[in-house]
Amino acid sequence: MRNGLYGGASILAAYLVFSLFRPLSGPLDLVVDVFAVAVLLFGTLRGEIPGAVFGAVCGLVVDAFSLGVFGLAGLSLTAGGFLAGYVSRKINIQVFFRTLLFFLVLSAGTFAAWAGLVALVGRSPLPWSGGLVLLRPAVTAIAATLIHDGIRRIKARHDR
Amino acid sequence: MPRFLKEHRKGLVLTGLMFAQLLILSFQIPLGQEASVFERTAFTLLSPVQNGVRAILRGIGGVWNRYVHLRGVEDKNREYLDDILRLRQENAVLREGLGKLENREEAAAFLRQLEKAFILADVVGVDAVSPHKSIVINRGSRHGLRNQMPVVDAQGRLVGRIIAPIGPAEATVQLITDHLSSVGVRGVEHPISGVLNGEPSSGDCRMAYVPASDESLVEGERLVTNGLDRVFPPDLPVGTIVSIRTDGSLFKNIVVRPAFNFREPAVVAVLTGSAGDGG
Repeated sequence: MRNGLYGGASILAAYLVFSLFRPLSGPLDLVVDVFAVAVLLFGTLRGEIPGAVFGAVCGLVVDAFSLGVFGLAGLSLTAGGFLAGYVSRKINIQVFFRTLLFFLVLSAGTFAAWAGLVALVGRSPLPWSGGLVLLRPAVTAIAATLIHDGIRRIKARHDR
Repeated sequence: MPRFLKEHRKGLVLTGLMFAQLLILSFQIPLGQEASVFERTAFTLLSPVQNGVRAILRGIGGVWNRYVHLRGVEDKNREYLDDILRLRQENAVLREGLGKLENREEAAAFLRQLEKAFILADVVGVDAVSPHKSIVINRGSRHGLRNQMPVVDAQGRLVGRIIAPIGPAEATVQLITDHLSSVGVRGVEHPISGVLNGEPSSGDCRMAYVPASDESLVEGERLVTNGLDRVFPPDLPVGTIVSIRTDGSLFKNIVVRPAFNFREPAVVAVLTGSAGDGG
């Protein structure tokens, strides 16, 4: 129940940021993937099953607002959300640079899976824009790490 | 709960979710280009949020522009007054000419039709995956929008066409730079026709099916719609040829830069009068 409420609120927040950011960002809109940031963070904070469910729903929302095959983003984000929850319970990600590396590996994996599916199933070219899209995993990882670090600090202050 | 389910709960949930998404993917094969029920529902439920966010942003911008940043308003007013005067004159001349050509009732009916020929809409969102594929506008089926209606920018340059999903108050516009978009075009100076396909990876387009033997089209030539596709009316500005190459195939490799600016179209017009009637 609690996960459902958190999930609903997080999707709405991610969607609001996406709506706010998207038409304003210029060429940056290819680099920033708000939903990937939300899915990786949600998986890390809430666990693998809520992460996978959240990833699935987010993916379907992304696909509803994009032309092409419906369900492609869902597959990669579901796996991303699950792995974020699973791996974060196995390793210590309380150190900033380790968190950054953790999110970088996960976002690169999610991006590679999505790009592979788009090329194979969607049969559509990737939006390269002079290679700008390749920065997406790094930007996603930095954004997720900063937010994760912020939440960790707030929690620590609250616990004190 | 059986032991097996308890032990493998996480793996089973992941497998179930993946399987459900693969099912959604497979459902699309018989649907083709049509939007699925889930896609339509998600679009209808969430697009008003996007519309609302844009409205709030526009409101904040409006307060700044209308009440704080008033530099240049007087010049702009003068410019608009000149434009109104010129357009009124043009309108009067055209009405007079129309009255001479047709009888009064037919002319009045034609003018009434013209008034309903387009619907203005604001761009409220951009494609979630690639900005060169689609945009979302704040007009939908409630305003009379249907599949295939052409969309132009404020200068009358072709932007794309309405495509599913269409919500009651929002609709999706497939841009001419989407790889599945096809537009019948011809040169302005040299009336050679071809088909314009999009290239979302670069934001440019390619003009296909121009024979390699043709020497008339040149770099810098402007292209307009030819109306042969029976979706877009003829003579809408589409773009400019930026490069022409022959690589040994039967057809030329022509790169076209779209006339409309991706960052510019805050307001677009949907040509409602030309849907399905071939322009």
